[in-house]
Amino acid sequence: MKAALTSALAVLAMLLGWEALVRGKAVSPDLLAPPSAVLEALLRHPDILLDQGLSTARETALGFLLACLFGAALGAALSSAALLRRVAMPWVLALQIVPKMALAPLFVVWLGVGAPCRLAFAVFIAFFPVLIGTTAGLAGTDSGALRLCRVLGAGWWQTVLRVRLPYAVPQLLAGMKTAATMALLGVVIGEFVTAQQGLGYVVMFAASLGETALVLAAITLLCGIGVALYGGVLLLELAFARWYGAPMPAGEFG
Amino acid sequence: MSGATLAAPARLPWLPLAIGVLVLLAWDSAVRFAHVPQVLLPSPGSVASSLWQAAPVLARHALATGGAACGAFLVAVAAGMVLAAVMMLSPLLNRLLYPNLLLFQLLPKVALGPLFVVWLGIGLPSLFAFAVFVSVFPVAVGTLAGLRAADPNQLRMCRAAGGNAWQAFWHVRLPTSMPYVFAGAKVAATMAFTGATVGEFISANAGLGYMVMQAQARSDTPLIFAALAVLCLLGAALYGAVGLAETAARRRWGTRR
Amino acid sequence: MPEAPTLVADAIRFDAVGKTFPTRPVPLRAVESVSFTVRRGEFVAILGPSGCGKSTLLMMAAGLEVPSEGRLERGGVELVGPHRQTGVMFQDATLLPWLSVLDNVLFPATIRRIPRAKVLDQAMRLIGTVGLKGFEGARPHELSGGMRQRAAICRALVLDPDLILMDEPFSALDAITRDEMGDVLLDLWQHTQKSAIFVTHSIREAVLLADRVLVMSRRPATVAEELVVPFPRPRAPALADSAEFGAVVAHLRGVIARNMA
Ligand SMILES: Nc1ncnc2c1ncn2[C@@H]1O[C@H](COP(=O)(O)OP(=O)(O)OP(=O)(O)O)[C@@H](O)[C@H]1O
Ligand SMILES: [Mg+2]
Repeated sequence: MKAALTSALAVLAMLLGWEALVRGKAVSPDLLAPPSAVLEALLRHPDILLDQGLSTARETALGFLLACLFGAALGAALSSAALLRRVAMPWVLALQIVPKMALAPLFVVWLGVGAPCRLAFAVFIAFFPVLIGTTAGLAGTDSGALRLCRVLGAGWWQTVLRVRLPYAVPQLLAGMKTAATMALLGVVIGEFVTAQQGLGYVVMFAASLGETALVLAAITLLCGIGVALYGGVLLLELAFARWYGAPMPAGEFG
Repeated sequence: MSGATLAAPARLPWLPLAIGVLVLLAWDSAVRFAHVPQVLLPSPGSVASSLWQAAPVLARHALATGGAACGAFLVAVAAGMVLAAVMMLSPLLNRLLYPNLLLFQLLPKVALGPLFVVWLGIGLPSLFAFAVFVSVFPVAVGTLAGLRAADPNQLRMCRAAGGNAWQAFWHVRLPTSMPYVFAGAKVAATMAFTGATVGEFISANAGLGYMVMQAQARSDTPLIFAALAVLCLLGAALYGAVGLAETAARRRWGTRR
Repeated sequence: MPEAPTLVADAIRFDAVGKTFPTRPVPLRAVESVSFTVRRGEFVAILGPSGCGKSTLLMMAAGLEVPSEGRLERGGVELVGPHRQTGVMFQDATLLPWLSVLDNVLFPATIRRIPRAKVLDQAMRLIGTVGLKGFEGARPHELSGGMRQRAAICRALVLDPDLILMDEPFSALDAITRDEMGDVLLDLWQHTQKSAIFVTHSIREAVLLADRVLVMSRRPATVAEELVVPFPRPRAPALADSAEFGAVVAHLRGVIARNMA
């Protein structure tokens, strides 16, 4: 609590210092609009920002959900079929290595400049962490617990439902947290390359006009979307942790 | 990353390679016999010929992007490690910065790209700064986690032997943080290329990203494929270099995972 | 009573059982032609050098490993896979971290789809007997190692099996807790007619608990010696302090030393 307060104060001090720097003419407002101007921009164009923000938020949320669905399903498939794993896992890992986000133009080629392109790209970017979280989680089941299941004559479904899943969920959630940020990133990059709508487009458009206040206003909204989605996953994790009732194994999939 | 199934295969992965070749053949025959338009999916052959024909131009642009990304990567690794070390050694700075650093992870940093153009104009400086900006955080967060992962018993031992904070840092914390630093550096390697390319998407006058945008405007899909292939190769190469450095470091200092 | 083909069927019978693991480059012979019988209600302890194949033997008895040759009979019927009337305890408790002690103890019932109400009394009684009363709602991470192992004992017994297999169930515990657990097990055993195979490295545990002790040879494991423990039941934990007890332990130690040489 105290740490949060200190860092909140630090942020506040930074904002004030920033404002002072611009007011004191140390930095030109054209280069870096002061917080007051950003706030003003937010209030001045509520309809545009809200419209574009909603578009981005919608695509991000949908992309995130689809990514979770695909990622978890494919992860489960890879975990249950050794042959599939041997065939596909090296490719999955190889895709992790290449700068995936640079592949956005391919999606424009295939899906045009509309929402499907941005959505597909967001899913493409965001589903890897979920996939990896799922496979790592399912692989990380305590071997003793699995042996116990065999001793008790538990069926495949029972083992999955009662043992493998609870062991896997913490890692899955960690993957989903990464996916939340990735989905937003995917939509924004999609908006950059499709240049049709969304906050990413606003950012690019306003920057080309030198309207840094509007740029920062749009980025503020983007942060809001990111924090909201991440917060949603965090709530989910909290709810799971309550049910779990024990220290959970940590997982991180940057 | 953890999990037994994720371990890199020691032997050459024949099966996936074979599947890759099969996919390539299927792709080729799909384009050939199902008459998929060239604009949507060029055949592997036409991508190859585009690669060959545009080789000189590609090389020039690849040098621009690769240079910017690799340079940015090096700066980001150095800066990220210094940032983490400073935060480790100064509790006050840590208290002030760490929660914000975590919050920063949530910010879609790539969205700030256009601002860099406003600040530094179109060209290498803005591209470079942007690439450093997006890749410095994984290194900082990773290093910090690594520095904190030091075994308390080892630290106690170091203190009992009369070592000061600096020696504890140098002899205990730094070696244990190695795997974490490299994990962060690997993310940074891909992020540096992502930053450079996305920067070029936004506005640039050179580089593979710029070339892709140009090719897209001309609907020259084979060239898009060729440029992206080169880009992926470069990204993977940097990643591989970090992996090699990690192996070397591990051999040199004997740090285990 | 479960199905009992013959009136005096043994609990479990090993008949020239061998086990070879197909390891590379050379296959590993873990168990060599082991034959022995555990009668109904008999408690058999197995002692032997580390890595000789005791766990492998027990895994086969649990139906988790298939013998390479020979035959296993459980209650007069050939054993093929895990048996409903067998309880198993491992070296670590392997409690599921997200379940309470009670839910962990009831886990076998959950898996076998036996209504909770049917076994709840039995579970509570066992929890009381091992001294975990008041901890039914606790999660495993809130328990000490000894308490976790007590919960694991309850889990192995909750469905009232007629044979219990235990693989060094107390070896992860400290010496004092370990002796305590031995006493708990002894106490539990006095009132039941269960059969047991108990793998241990502790001669004291073996002599205190068992009716019969089998000493295994080095790998591949065979039954090197067999000793009938000459103490009548019911036994009290204080038995372990008696001179006779010390003599039997010393004798066994000699047997094991001869075997290792
Ligand atoms: N699944 C397996 N595959 C290959 N080898 C195995 C397997 N399980 C056990 N072994 C080998 O069989 C031998 C006997 O193992 P086992 O675990 O039965 O020994 P143990 O008597 O229980 O030893 P300890 O007292 O240390 O627990 C060992 O050499 C072990 O390496
Ligand atoms: Mg063993």
